[in-house]
Amino acid sequence: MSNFLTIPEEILLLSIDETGGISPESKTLDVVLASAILMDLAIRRRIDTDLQKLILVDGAPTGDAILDDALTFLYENPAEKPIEHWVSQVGLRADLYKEDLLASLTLKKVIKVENKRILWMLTSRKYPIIGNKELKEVKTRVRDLIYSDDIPDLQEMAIVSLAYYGSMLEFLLTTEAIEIYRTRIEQIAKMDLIGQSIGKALAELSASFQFSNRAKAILGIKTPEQKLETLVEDIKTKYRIVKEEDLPDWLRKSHPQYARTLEFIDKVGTSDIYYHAGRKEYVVRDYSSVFSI
Amino acid sequence: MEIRITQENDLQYIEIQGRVDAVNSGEIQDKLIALADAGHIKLLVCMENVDYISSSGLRSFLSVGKKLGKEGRLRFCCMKPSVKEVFTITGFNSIFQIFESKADAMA
Repeated sequence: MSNFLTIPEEILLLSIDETGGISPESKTLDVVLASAILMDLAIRRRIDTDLQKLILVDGAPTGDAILDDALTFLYENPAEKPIEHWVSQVGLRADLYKEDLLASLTLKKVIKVENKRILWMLTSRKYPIIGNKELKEVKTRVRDLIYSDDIPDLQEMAIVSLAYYGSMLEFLLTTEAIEIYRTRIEQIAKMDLIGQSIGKALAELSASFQFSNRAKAILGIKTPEQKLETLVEDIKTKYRIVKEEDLPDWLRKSHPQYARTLEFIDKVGTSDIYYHAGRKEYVVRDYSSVFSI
Repeated sequence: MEIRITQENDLQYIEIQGRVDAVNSGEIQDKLIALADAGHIKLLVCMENVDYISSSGLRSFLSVGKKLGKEGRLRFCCMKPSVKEVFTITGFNSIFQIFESKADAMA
């Protein structure tokens, strides 16, 4: 692939608003990013899909650290399961991928990082776009495709599919344009089976999980143990995890890491956290509070 | 998987036998793009002996269609129901013309 940015980098770039904030709501973005990673791997012929399942094809590294991490994860868990299952499983690691993608975009000088102090410990973090060149370029490519009857390039097809199924079309087009070109957008969006599975995964997610209500419930819970149990239940619901063993180490009660997670929640007072396995750090979402344990 | 290419009037007739998946779709793509590079921009792919097609196979045909451009033509014929279903579900039947028989495609 000759594009300067990978598919997950492009979709994350599209989600950054003019203030440097990231939308849509982070849980949806997790699933979209996971799907973007799988699409990129599919275009690079490392995985394949059919109407029933995701198939491992080639474990050779792509040279991109994020894609290779996901590829290694898939090969370490080589079960023949539907695409939605793998979207969920990779989505479970999306927090750390998001961090790494933002770092990669920073390194490529597409965005910069701005930390703003709110209290002595907590700061908000923004990612303003530098110069707009790459953002403009991806929007132009995708709009040119939508406004024509051309056969799509694979990367633009993936972006349209992600934007359509991830409810992110408004980052690419005006409301009026979305309505005018809806048939064409739908035609492109459904051309990839991974894209269609994203639609299923996101539809189930939005139907079964009310994150804002859940967050309010978390605020009313007193003990760190209860907060962590609620977080684990939320993760299980979100990613449709049934077995304890499918949870990551830091959320698995039988694993020593679980006690450290509990310790971290006790320290920061919230279970709105994730664990960056690569850096061995716990991170509070949307704040820069980072603790190495 | 086997590919047989013959010239029929002004088009290249491509018969594929076997599965079209990640293992062999690259080979199919390379052969069809080589035809386009040689100036053969009217291609008819017979799918009569194809039992299975994956996303990778679809993407390969998409890349060939892209390479042929608006002046070119990529058509398919004689699809089995299971393969036709994949084309229909993904909307590839709205991008490429699919015919029941070789005669229909060449008419």
